[in-house]
Amino acid sequence: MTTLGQRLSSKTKAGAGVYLRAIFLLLAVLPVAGGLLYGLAYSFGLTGALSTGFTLQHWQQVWSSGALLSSLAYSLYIGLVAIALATAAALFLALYFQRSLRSGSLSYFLYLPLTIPAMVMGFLVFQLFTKSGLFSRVVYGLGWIDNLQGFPSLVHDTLGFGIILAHVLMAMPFLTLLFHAIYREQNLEQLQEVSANLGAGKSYFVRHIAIPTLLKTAAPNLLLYFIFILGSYEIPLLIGSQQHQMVSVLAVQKFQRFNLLDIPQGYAISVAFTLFVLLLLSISFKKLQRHA
Amino acid sequence: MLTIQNLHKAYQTHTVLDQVSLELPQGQVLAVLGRSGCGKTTLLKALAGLLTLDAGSINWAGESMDAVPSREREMVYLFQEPLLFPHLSVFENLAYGLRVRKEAEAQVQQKVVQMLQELELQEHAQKKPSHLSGGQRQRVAFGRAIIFLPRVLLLDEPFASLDAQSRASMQRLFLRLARKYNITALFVTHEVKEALLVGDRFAYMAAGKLQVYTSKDAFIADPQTGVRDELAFWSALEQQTTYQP
Repeated sequence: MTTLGQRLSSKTKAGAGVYLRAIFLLLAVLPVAGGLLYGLAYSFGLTGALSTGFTLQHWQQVWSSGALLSSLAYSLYIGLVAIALATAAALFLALYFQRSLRSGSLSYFLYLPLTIPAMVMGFLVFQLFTKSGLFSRVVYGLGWIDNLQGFPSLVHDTLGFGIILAHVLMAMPFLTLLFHAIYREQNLEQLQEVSANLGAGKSYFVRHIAIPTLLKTAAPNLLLYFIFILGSYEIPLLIGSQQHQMVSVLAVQKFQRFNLLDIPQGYAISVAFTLFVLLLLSISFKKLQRHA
Repeated sequence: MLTIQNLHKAYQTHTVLDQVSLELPQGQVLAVLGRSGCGKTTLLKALAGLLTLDAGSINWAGESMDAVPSREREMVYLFQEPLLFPHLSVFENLAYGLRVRKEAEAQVQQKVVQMLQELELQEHAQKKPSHLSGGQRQRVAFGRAIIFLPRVLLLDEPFASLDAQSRASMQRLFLRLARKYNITALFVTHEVKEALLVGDRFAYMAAGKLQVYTSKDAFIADPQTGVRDELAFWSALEQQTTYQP
Protein backbone atom coordinates (compact mmCIF):
# COMPACT_ATOMS: atom_id res chain seq x y z
CA MET A 1 0.00 0.00 0.00
CA THR A 2 1.27 3.50 -0.76
CA THR A 3 1.94 6.07 1.95
CA LEU A 4 -1.11 8.06 0.80
CA GLY A 5 -3.22 4.91 0.95
CA GLN A 6 -1.98 4.15 4.46
CA ARG A 7 -2.78 7.69 5.61
CA LEU A 8 -6.29 7.51 4.13
CA SER A 9 -6.85 4.11 5.77
CA SER A 10 -5.76 5.35 9.21
CA LYS A 11 -7.98 8.45 8.79
CA THR A 12 -10.95 6.25 7.87
CA LYS A 13 -10.31 4.07 10.95
CA ALA A 14 -10.11 7.14 13.21
CA GLY A 15 -13.33 8.50 11.69
CA ALA A 16 -15.14 5.20 12.27
CA GLY A 17 -13.92 5.24 15.91
CA VAL A 18 -15.42 8.70 16.45
CA TYR A 19 -18.77 7.60 14.97
CA LEU A 20 -18.85 4.45 17.09
CA ARG A 21 -18.12 6.46 20.23
CA ALA A 22 -20.87 8.92 19.30
CA ILE A 23 -23.37 6.08 18.77
CA PHE A 24 -22.36 4.55 22.12
CA LEU A 25 -22.87 7.90 23.87
CA LEU A 26 -26.22 8.39 22.13
CA LEU A 27 -27.58 4.93 22.96
CA ALA A 28 -26.02 4.07 26.32
CA VAL A 29 -24.91 7.21 28.15
CA LEU A 30 -27.33 9.90 27.01
CA PRO A 31 -30.64 8.24 28.09
CA VAL A 32 -29.24 7.37 31.54
CA ALA A 33 -27.59 10.75 32.08
CA GLY A 34 -30.69 12.52 30.73
CA GLY A 35 -32.98 10.54 33.03
CA LEU A 36 -30.74 11.24 36.01
CA LEU A 37 -30.60 14.96 35.28
CA TYR A 38 -34.36 15.12 34.77
CA GLY A 39 -34.89 13.26 38.07
CA LEU A 40 -32.47 15.60 39.82
CA ALA A 41 -34.24 18.67 38.38
CA TYR A 42 -37.65 17.25 39.38
CA SER A 43 -36.46 16.49 42.94
CA PHE A 44 -35.20 20.08 43.31
CA GLY A 45 -38.52 21.48 42.12
CA LEU A 46 -37.10 22.79 38.83
CA THR A 47 -39.58 20.93 36.63
CA GLY A 48 -42.87 19.02 36.88
CA ALA A 49 -46.56 19.88 37.06
CA LEU A 50 -46.37 21.60 40.46
CA SER A 51 -42.91 23.09 40.09
CA THR A 52 -42.32 26.16 42.26
CA GLY A 53 -38.65 26.78 41.52
CA PHE A 54 -35.50 25.51 43.22
CA THR A 55 -36.15 23.97 46.65
CA LEU A 56 -34.51 21.42 48.95
CA GLN A 57 -37.84 20.67 50.60
CA HIS A 58 -38.40 17.29 48.85
CA TRP A 59 -34.93 16.01 49.76
CA GLN A 60 -35.40 17.19 53.35
CA GLN A 61 -38.73 15.34 53.54
CA VAL A 62 -37.15 12.15 52.22
CA TRP A 63 -34.26 12.32 54.71
CA SER A 64 -36.34 13.39 57.71
CA SER A 65 -38.95 10.61 57.24
CA GLY A 66 -36.19 7.98 57.39
CA ALA A 67 -38.07 5.93 54.77
CA LEU A 68 -35.20 6.01 52.28
CA LEU A 69 -32.56 4.88 54.76
CA SER A 70 -34.70 2.10 56.20
CA SER A 71 -35.68 0.81 52.74
CA LEU A 72 -32.05 1.04 51.62
CA ALA A 73 -30.98 -0.97 54.68
CA TYR A 74 -33.77 -3.52 54.00
CA SER A 75 -32.75 -3.78 50.33
CA LEU A 76 -29.11 -4.32 51.35
CA TYR A 77 -30.16 -7.04 53.78
CA ILE A 78 -32.28 -8.82 51.13
CA GLY A 79 -29.57 -8.43 48.49
CA LEU A 80 -26.73 -9.67 50.70
CA VAL A 81 -28.61 -12.68 52.08
CA ALA A 82 -30.00 -13.67 48.67
CA ILE A 83 -26.66 -13.39 46.83
CA ALA A 84 -24.82 -15.20 49.66
CA LEU A 85 -27.29 -18.12 49.67
CA ALA A 86 -27.43 -18.33 45.87
CA THR A 87 -23.61 -18.21 45.65
CA ALA A 88 -23.21 -20.95 48.28
CA ALA A 89 -25.75 -23.21 46.55
CA ALA A 90 -24.27 -22.52 43.10
CA LEU A 91 -20.73 -23.24 44.35
CA PHE A 92 -21.91 -26.54 45.79
CA LEU A 93 -23.57 -27.56 42.51
CA ALA A 94 -20.67 -26.38 40.34
CA LEU A 95 -18.04 -28.13 42.47
CA TYR A 96 -19.74 -31.40 43.35
CA PHE A 97 -21.87 -32.03 40.25
CA GLN A 98 -19.17 -31.40 37.64
CA ARG A 99 -19.90 -34.58 35.71
CA SER A 100 -23.66 -33.97 35.50
CA LEU A 101 -23.06 -30.38 34.43
CA ARG A 102 -20.58 -31.49 31.77
CA SER A 103 -22.81 -34.24 30.42
CA GLY A 104 -25.74 -31.81 30.27
CA SER A 105 -28.23 -33.71 32.42
CA LEU A 106 -28.17 -31.13 35.22
CA SER A 107 -27.81 -28.23 32.80
CA TYR A 108 -31.39 -28.75 31.50
CA PHE A 109 -32.76 -28.32 35.03
CA LEU A 110 -30.74 -25.11 35.31
CA TYR A 111 -31.72 -23.61 31.98
CA LEU A 112 -35.44 -23.98 32.74
CA PRO A 113 -35.59 -21.59 35.76
CA LEU A 114 -33.54 -19.09 33.74
CA THR A 115 -36.49 -18.68 31.38
CA ILE A 116 -38.94 -17.82 34.18
CA PRO A 117 -39.57 -14.06 34.53
CA ALA A 118 -39.28 -12.44 37.97
CA MET A 119 -43.05 -11.83 38.15
CA VAL A 120 -43.81 -15.52 37.53
CA MET A 121 -41.20 -16.59 40.09
CA GLY A 122 -42.84 -14.26 42.62
CA PHE A 123 -46.25 -15.86 41.94
CA LEU A 124 -44.72 -19.32 42.19
CA VAL A 125 -43.24 -18.61 45.62
CA PHE A 126 -46.54 -17.04 46.68
CA GLN A 127 -48.52 -20.12 45.57
CA LEU A 128 -46.13 -22.47 47.33
CA PHE A 129 -45.45 -20.66 50.62
CA THR A 130 -48.53 -18.63 51.51
CA LYS A 131 -50.61 -19.84 54.47
CA SER A 132 -53.11 -21.33 52.02
CA GLY A 133 -50.38 -22.47 49.61
CA LEU A 134 -49.23 -25.92 48.55
CA PHE A 135 -46.64 -26.48 51.31
CA SER A 136 -49.05 -25.32 53.99
CA ARG A 137 -51.64 -27.87 52.76
CA VAL A 138 -49.03 -30.65 52.60
CA VAL A 139 -47.86 -29.89 56.15
CA TYR A 140 -51.51 -29.72 57.30
CA GLY A 141 -52.21 -33.01 55.50
CA LEU A 142 -49.30 -34.62 57.33
CA GLY A 143 -50.85 -33.45 60.60
CA TRP A 144 -47.87 -31.29 61.60
CA ILE A 145 -50.12 -28.21 62.07
CA ASP A 146 -53.68 -28.00 63.42
CA ASN A 147 -54.94 -25.55 60.82
CA LEU A 148 -53.62 -23.68 57.79
CA GLN A 149 -53.09 -20.52 59.85
CA GLY A 150 -50.54 -22.43 61.92
CA PHE A 151 -48.16 -22.43 58.92
CA PRO A 152 -45.36 -19.88 59.46
CA SER A 153 -45.52 -16.57 57.57
CA LEU A 154 -43.07 -17.10 54.74
CA VAL A 155 -44.69 -14.66 52.31
CA HIS A 156 -45.29 -10.95 53.09
CA ASP A 157 -43.13 -11.54 56.18
CA THR A 158 -40.83 -8.97 57.77
CA LEU A 159 -37.69 -11.10 57.32
CA GLY A 160 -38.31 -11.21 53.57
CA PHE A 161 -38.14 -15.03 53.33
CA GLY A 162 -40.31 -15.10 50.20
CA ILE A 163 -38.34 -12.36 48.42
CA ILE A 164 -35.02 -14.00 49.30
CA LEU A 165 -36.23 -17.42 48.17
CA ALA A 166 -37.52 -16.11 44.85
CA HIS A 167 -34.22 -14.33 44.18
CA VAL A 168 -32.17 -17.36 45.21
CA LEU A 169 -34.21 -19.56 42.85
CA MET A 170 -33.59 -17.10 40.03
CA ALA A 171 -29.91 -16.45 40.74
CA MET A 172 -28.78 -20.00 41.56
CA PRO A 173 -29.04 -21.49 38.02
CA PHE A 174 -27.32 -18.47 36.49
CA LEU A 175 -24.49 -18.53 39.04
CA THR A 176 -24.07 -22.32 38.73
CA LEU A 177 -23.62 -22.04 34.97
CA LEU A 178 -21.26 -19.09 35.49
CA PHE A 179 -19.12 -20.99 38.02
CA HIS A 180 -19.13 -24.06 35.77
CA ALA A 181 -17.87 -21.96 32.85
CA ILE A 182 -15.15 -20.40 35.06
CA TYR A 183 -14.19 -23.87 36.36
CA ARG A 184 -13.45 -24.95 32.81
CA GLU A 185 -11.90 -21.69 31.68
CA GLN A 186 -9.54 -21.54 34.68
CA ASN A 187 -8.48 -25.15 34.10
CA LEU A 188 -9.53 -26.15 37.62
CA GLU A 189 -9.87 -29.80 36.68
CA GLN A 190 -6.15 -30.01 35.91
CA LEU A 191 -5.31 -27.85 38.93
CA GLN A 192 -7.15 -30.41 41.05
CA GLU A 193 -4.90 -33.12 39.62
CA VAL A 194 -1.87 -30.97 40.46
CA SER A 195 -3.21 -30.35 43.96
CA ALA A 196 -3.88 -34.05 44.58
CA ASN A 197 -0.44 -34.91 43.27
CA LEU A 198 1.05 -32.42 45.74
CA GLY A 199 -0.75 -34.26 48.54
CA ALA A 200 -4.02 -32.34 49.01
CA GLY A 201 -7.44 -33.94 49.40
CA LYS A 202 -10.51 -32.71 47.50
CA SER A 203 -11.83 -30.60 50.39
CA TYR A 204 -8.43 -28.84 50.79
CA PHE A 205 -8.42 -28.10 47.07
CA VAL A 206 -12.02 -26.84 47.18
CA ARG A 207 -11.35 -24.53 50.17
CA HIS A 208 -7.93 -23.22 49.15
CA ILE A 209 -7.99 -23.20 45.36
CA ALA A 210 -11.40 -23.77 43.74
CA ILE A 211 -13.61 -21.47 45.84
CA PRO A 212 -11.16 -18.51 45.93
CA THR A 213 -10.53 -18.82 42.18
CA LEU A 214 -14.24 -19.04 41.33
CA LEU A 215 -15.25 -16.17 43.64
CA LYS A 216 -12.43 -13.92 42.53
CA THR A 217 -13.13 -14.46 38.84
CA ALA A 218 -16.90 -14.13 39.29
CA ALA A 219 -16.70 -11.10 41.64
CA PRO A 220 -17.78 -8.46 39.06
CA ASN A 221 -20.77 -10.61 38.03
CA LEU A 222 -21.73 -11.26 41.65
CA LEU A 223 -21.58 -7.53 42.34
CA LEU A 224 -23.79 -6.74 39.34
CA TYR A 225 -26.32 -9.42 40.32
CA PHE A 226 -26.33 -8.04 43.88
CA ILE A 227 -27.15 -4.59 42.47
CA PHE A 228 -29.88 -6.15 40.32
CA ILE A 229 -31.46 -7.61 43.48
CA LEU A 230 -31.07 -4.27 45.31
CA GLY A 231 -33.15 -2.55 42.65
CA SER A 232 -35.66 -5.37 42.07
CA TYR A 233 -39.31 -4.38 41.93
CA GLU A 234 -41.77 -7.11 40.90
CA ILE A 235 -40.84 -9.74 43.49
CA PRO A 236 -40.89 -7.44 46.57
CA LEU A 237 -44.09 -5.84 45.28
CA LEU A 238 -45.82 -9.24 45.02
CA ILE A 239 -44.54 -11.02 48.10
CA GLY A 240 -42.84 -8.33 50.15
CA SER A 241 -43.73 -7.14 53.64
CA GLN A 242 -46.16 -4.28 54.27
CA GLN A 243 -43.88 -2.85 56.97
CA HIS A 244 -40.56 -2.92 55.10
CA GLN A 245 -40.24 -1.85 51.52
CA MET A 246 -37.37 -2.26 49.11
CA VAL A 247 -36.15 0.97 47.48
CA SER A 248 -37.82 0.44 44.09
CA VAL A 249 -41.19 -0.28 45.70
CA LEU A 250 -40.91 2.82 47.88
CA ALA A 251 -39.98 5.04 44.90
CA VAL A 252 -42.77 3.72 42.66
CA GLN A 253 -45.31 4.18 45.46
CA LYS A 254 -44.31 7.84 45.66
CA PHE A 255 -44.69 8.20 41.89
CA GLN A 256 -48.10 6.53 41.74
CA ARG A 257 -49.79 8.16 44.70
CA PHE A 258 -52.70 10.52 44.06
CA ASN A 259 -50.78 13.32 45.76
CA LEU A 260 -48.76 14.94 42.99
CA LEU A 261 -46.54 16.60 45.62
CA ASP A 262 -45.06 13.16 46.40
CA ILE A 263 -43.65 12.73 42.89
CA PRO A 264 -40.52 14.89 43.52
CA GLN A 265 -39.82 12.70 46.57
CA GLY A 266 -40.01 9.63 44.31
CA TYR A 267 -37.43 11.25 42.05
CA ALA A 268 -35.24 12.17 45.05
CA ILE A 269 -35.32 8.52 46.20
CA SER A 270 -34.48 7.27 42.68
CA VAL A 271 -31.60 9.71 42.27
CA ALA A 272 -30.22 8.92 45.75
CA PHE A 273 -30.41 5.18 44.99
CA THR A 274 -28.68 5.64 41.62
CA LEU A 275 -25.89 7.65 43.24
CA PHE A 276 -25.53 5.00 45.95
CA VAL A 277 -25.23 2.25 43.31
CA LEU A 278 -22.69 4.26 41.31
CA LEU A 279 -20.64 4.83 44.47
CA LEU A 280 -20.83 1.12 45.33
CA LEU A 281 -19.76 0.19 41.80
CA SER A 282 -16.83 2.60 41.68
CA ILE A 283 -15.49 1.54 45.12
CA SER A 284 -15.94 -2.17 44.38
CA PHE A 285 -14.38 -2.10 40.92
CA LYS A 286 -11.41 -0.12 42.23
CA LYS A 287 -10.91 -2.75 44.93
CA LEU A 288 -11.31 -5.58 42.43
CA GLN A 289 -8.77 -3.99 40.10
CA ARG A 290 -6.30 -3.57 42.97
CA HIS A 291 -6.60 -7.26 43.86
CA ALA A 292 -6.57 -8.49 40.24
CA MET B 1 14.91 -47.80 44.68
CA LEU B 2 11.99 -47.42 42.28
CA THR B 3 10.97 -50.75 40.77
CA ILE B 4 8.43 -51.03 37.99
CA GLN B 5 7.35 -54.40 36.68
CA ASN B 6 5.34 -55.25 33.56
CA LEU B 7 3.15 -52.17 33.43
CA HIS B 8 0.34 -52.51 30.92
CA LYS B 9 -2.22 -49.97 29.81
CA ALA B 10 -4.53 -50.03 26.80
CA TYR B 11 -7.32 -47.79 25.56
CA GLN B 12 -9.79 -50.18 23.92
CA THR B 13 -7.59 -51.99 21.36
CA HIS B 14 -4.73 -49.49 21.41
CA THR B 15 -1.88 -50.51 23.73
CA VAL B 16 -0.15 -47.50 25.27
CA LEU B 17 2.13 -49.26 27.78
CA ASP B 18 3.42 -52.67 26.85
CA GLN B 19 5.13 -54.66 29.63
CA VAL B 20 7.15 -51.67 30.86
CA SER B 21 9.74 -52.58 33.50
CA LEU B 22 12.63 -50.66 35.04
CA GLU B 23 14.70 -50.17 38.16
CA LEU B 24 15.95 -46.79 39.25
CA PRO B 25 18.22 -46.34 42.30
CA GLN B 26 17.51 -43.44 44.67
CA GLY B 27 19.05 -40.12 43.68
CA GLN B 28 19.41 -40.98 39.99
CA VAL B 29 17.78 -39.40 36.96
CA LEU B 30 16.46 -41.63 34.19
CA ALA B 31 16.22 -39.73 30.92
CA VAL B 32 13.46 -41.21 28.76
CA LEU B 33 13.71 -40.30 25.10
CA GLY B 34 10.80 -40.84 22.78
CA ARG B 35 8.64 -39.32 20.08
CA SER B 36 5.19 -37.83 20.66
CA GLY B 37 2.50 -40.44 21.29
CA CYS B 38 4.92 -43.22 22.32
CA GLY B 39 3.35 -43.54 25.80
CA LYS B 40 5.77 -41.40 27.84
CA THR B 41 3.06 -39.24 29.42
CA THR B 42 0.92 -42.27 30.22
CA LEU B 43 3.89 -43.91 31.95
CA LEU B 44 4.54 -40.85 34.11
CA LYS B 45 0.86 -40.30 34.95
CA ALA B 46 0.50 -43.96 35.90
CA LEU B 47 3.51 -43.66 38.21
CA ALA B 48 2.02 -40.53 39.79
CA GLY B 49 -1.24 -42.37 40.41
CA LEU B 50 -3.18 -40.10 38.06
CA LEU B 51 -4.08 -43.03 35.79
CA THR B 52 -5.14 -46.56 36.64
CA LEU B 53 -3.16 -49.39 35.11
CA ASP B 54 -4.51 -52.59 33.56
CA ALA B 55 -1.64 -54.66 34.95
CA GLY B 56 1.80 -54.41 36.53
CA SER B 57 3.25 -53.22 39.80
CA ILE B 58 5.04 -50.15 41.12
CA ASN B 59 7.28 -50.44 44.19
CA TRP B 60 9.27 -47.91 46.15
CA ALA B 61 11.93 -49.24 48.54
CA GLY B 62 10.18 -52.60 48.51
CA GLU B 63 6.79 -51.10 49.36
CA SER B 64 3.95 -51.52 46.85
CA MET B 65 2.50 -48.26 45.57
CA ASP B 66 -0.30 -49.89 43.56
CA ALA B 67 -3.07 -49.18 46.05
CA VAL B 68 -1.64 -45.88 47.27
CA PRO B 69 -3.70 -42.89 45.98
CA SER B 70 -1.98 -40.08 44.10
CA ARG B 71 -2.04 -37.68 47.04
CA GLU B 72 -0.26 -40.13 49.33
CA ARG B 73 2.14 -41.54 46.78
CA GLU B 74 4.72 -38.70 46.99
CA MET B 75 5.53 -39.16 43.31
CA VAL B 76 5.08 -35.73 41.81
CA TYR B 77 4.21 -35.28 38.17
CA LEU B 78 5.47 -32.04 36.65
CA PHE B 79 3.17 -31.10 33.76
CA GLN B 80 4.38 -29.58 30.49
CA GLU B 81 2.48 -26.41 31.45
CA PRO B 82 3.44 -24.85 34.81
CA LEU B 83 -0.20 -25.00 36.07
CA LEU B 84 0.38 -22.64 38.98
CA PHE B 85 -2.54 -21.72 41.24
CA PRO B 86 -3.58 -18.41 39.67
CA HIS B 87 -4.81 -16.53 42.76
CA LEU B 88 -1.82 -17.49 44.95
CA SER B 89 1.47 -15.58 45.02
CA VAL B 90 4.77 -17.22 44.05
CA PHE B 91 5.48 -17.67 47.77
CA GLU B 92 2.14 -19.40 48.44
CA ASN B 93 2.45 -21.58 45.34
CA LEU B 94 5.81 -22.82 46.61
CA ALA B 95 4.42 -23.30 50.11
CA TYR B 96 1.37 -25.31 48.94
CA GLY B 97 2.81 -28.81 49.43
CA LEU B 98 4.24 -27.83 52.84
CA ARG B 99 0.94 -26.35 54.04
CA VAL B 100 -0.91 -29.46 52.87
CA ARG B 101 1.46 -31.47 55.07
CA LYS B 102 0.72 -29.08 57.96
CA GLU B 103 4.36 -28.12 58.49
CA ALA B 104 5.00 -25.48 61.16
CA GLU B 105 4.82 -21.90 59.88
CA ALA B 106 8.48 -21.20 60.75
CA GLN B 107 9.53 -24.27 58.73
CA VAL B 108 7.35 -23.19 55.81
CA GLN B 109 8.85 -19.69 55.83
CA GLN B 110 12.40 -20.98 56.04
CA LYS B 111 11.99 -23.61 53.29
CA VAL B 112 10.18 -21.27 50.90
CA VAL B 113 12.73 -18.47 51.37
CA GLN B 114 15.53 -20.97 50.70
CA MET B 115 13.74 -22.30 47.61
CA LEU B 116 13.16 -18.75 46.34
CA GLN B 117 16.92 -18.22 46.57
CA GLU B 118 17.63 -21.49 44.76
CA LEU B 119 15.25 -20.47 41.99
CA GLU B 120 16.57 -16.88 41.96
CA LEU B 121 13.05 -15.57 42.39
CA GLN B 122 13.41 -13.67 45.70
CA GLU B 123 12.16 -10.38 44.28
CA HIS B 124 9.10 -12.07 42.74
CA ALA B 125 7.88 -13.75 45.94
CA GLN B 126 4.71 -11.72 46.24
CA LYS B 127 3.86 -11.63 42.53
CA LYS B 128 0.96 -13.55 41.04
CA PRO B 129 1.75 -16.15 38.32
CA SER B 130 0.18 -13.92 35.66
CA HIS B 131 2.96 -11.37 36.27
CA LEU B 132 5.79 -13.85 35.58
CA SER B 133 7.48 -14.92 32.36
CA GLY B 134 7.11 -18.48 31.02
CA GLY B 135 10.54 -19.49 32.35
CA GLN B 136 9.87 -18.01 35.79
CA ARG B 137 6.52 -19.84 36.00
CA GLN B 138 8.19 -23.12 35.10
CA ARG B 139 10.80 -22.50 37.81
CA VAL B 140 8.05 -21.94 40.38
CA ALA B 141 6.30 -25.16 39.28
CA PHE B 142 9.59 -27.03 39.63
CA GLY B 143 10.28 -25.55 43.07
CA ARG B 144 6.71 -26.32 44.19
CA ALA B 145 7.22 -29.95 43.17
CA ILE B 146 10.54 -30.52 44.95
CA ILE B 147 10.19 -28.35 48.06
CA PHE B 148 8.76 -31.18 50.19
CA LEU B 149 11.28 -33.68 48.78
CA PRO B 150 8.99 -36.22 47.10
CA ARG B 151 10.08 -39.80 46.57
CA VAL B 152 10.15 -39.47 42.79
CA LEU B 153 9.90 -36.49 40.48
CA LEU B 154 8.23 -37.17 37.14
CA LEU B 155 9.05 -34.55 34.53
CA ASP B 156 7.00 -34.56 31.33
CA GLU B 157 8.95 -32.45 28.82
CA PRO B 158 8.84 -29.65 31.38
CA PHE B 159 10.91 -27.19 29.39
CA ALA B 160 9.42 -27.87 25.95
CA SER B 161 7.50 -24.59 25.78
CA LEU B 162 10.52 -22.43 26.70
CA ASP B 163 12.88 -20.57 24.39
CA ALA B 164 16.39 -21.99 23.91
CA GLN B 165 18.02 -19.70 26.50
CA SER B 166 15.42 -20.26 29.23
CA ARG B 167 15.52 -23.97 28.46
CA ALA B 168 19.30 -24.16 28.93
CA SER B 169 19.02 -22.19 32.17
CA MET B 170 16.27 -24.53 33.45
CA GLN B 171 18.33 -27.60 32.55
CA ARG B 172 21.26 -26.23 34.58
CA LEU B 173 18.92 -25.42 37.48
CA PHE B 174 17.41 -28.92 37.35
CA LEU B 175 20.85 -30.57 37.39
CA ARG B 176 22.06 -28.42 40.30
CA LEU B 177 18.95 -29.04 42.45
CA ALA B 178 18.71 -32.72 41.49
CA ARG B 179 22.25 -33.22 42.81
CA LYS B 180 21.75 -31.02 45.87
CA TYR B 181 18.48 -32.65 47.02
CA ASN B 182 19.39 -36.14 45.79
CA ILE B 183 16.28 -36.25 43.60
CA THR B 184 15.13 -39.50 42.01
CA ALA B 185 13.54 -38.56 38.72
CA LEU B 186 12.16 -39.77 35.42
CA PHE B 187 12.83 -37.03 32.88
CA VAL B 188 10.87 -37.46 29.67
CA THR B 189 12.02 -35.54 26.62
CA HIS B 190 12.00 -35.80 22.84
CA GLU B 191 15.28 -33.89 22.55
CA VAL B 192 18.47 -35.96 22.36
CA LYS B 193 20.70 -33.21 23.77
CA GLU B 194 18.46 -32.68 26.77
CA ALA B 195 18.34 -36.42 27.50
CA LEU B 196 22.14 -36.68 27.41
CA LEU B 197 22.51 -33.58 29.58
CA VAL B 198 20.14 -34.46 32.43
CA GLY B 199 20.28 -38.26 32.61
CA ASP B 200 22.36 -40.55 34.83
CA ARG B 201 20.64 -43.48 33.13
CA PHE B 202 18.96 -43.64 29.76
CA ALA B 203 15.92 -45.25 28.19
CA TYR B 204 14.13 -45.10 24.86
CA MET B 205 10.41 -45.48 24.43
CA ALA B 206 8.55 -46.42 21.27
CA ALA B 207 5.02 -47.80 20.76
CA GLY B 208 4.52 -48.35 24.50
CA LYS B 209 7.71 -50.36 24.96
CA LEU B 210 10.53 -49.05 27.14
CA GLN B 211 14.11 -50.04 26.54
CA VAL B 212 16.49 -49.19 29.38
CA TYR B 213 20.20 -49.05 28.48
CA THR B 214 23.01 -50.32 30.65
CA SER B 215 25.21 -47.32 29.91
CA LYS B 216 25.36 -43.97 28.16
CA ASP B 217 27.51 -45.54 25.41
CA ALA B 218 24.91 -48.22 24.75
CA PHE B 219 22.25 -45.49 24.50
CA ILE B 220 24.37 -43.51 22.05
CA ALA B 221 25.24 -46.60 20.03
CA ASP B 222 21.64 -47.66 19.46
CA PRO B 223 20.59 -46.22 16.05
CA GLN B 224 16.90 -45.97 17.00
CA THR B 225 17.63 -43.30 19.65
CA GLY B 226 18.85 -40.94 16.92
CA VAL B 227 21.87 -39.83 18.97
CA ARG B 228 24.31 -40.93 16.28
CA ASP B 229 22.37 -39.08 13.57
CA GLU B 230 22.43 -35.96 15.72
CA LEU B 231 26.17 -36.32 16.36
CA ALA B 232 26.82 -36.93 12.65
CA PHE B 233 24.83 -33.80 11.79
CA TRP B 234 26.82 -31.60 14.16
CA SER B 235 30.21 -33.01 13.16
CA ALA B 236 29.35 -32.55 9.47
CA LEU B 237 28.37 -28.97 10.21
CA GLU B 238 31.58 -28.43 12.17
CA GLN B 239 33.67 -29.80 9.28
CA GLN B 240 31.88 -27.53 6.81
CA THR B 241 32.56 -24.52 9.03
CA THR B 242 36.22 -25.48 9.66
CA TYR B 243 37.18 -26.18 6.03
CA GLN B 244 35.27 -23.31 4.46
CA PRO B 245 37.64 -21.26 2.28
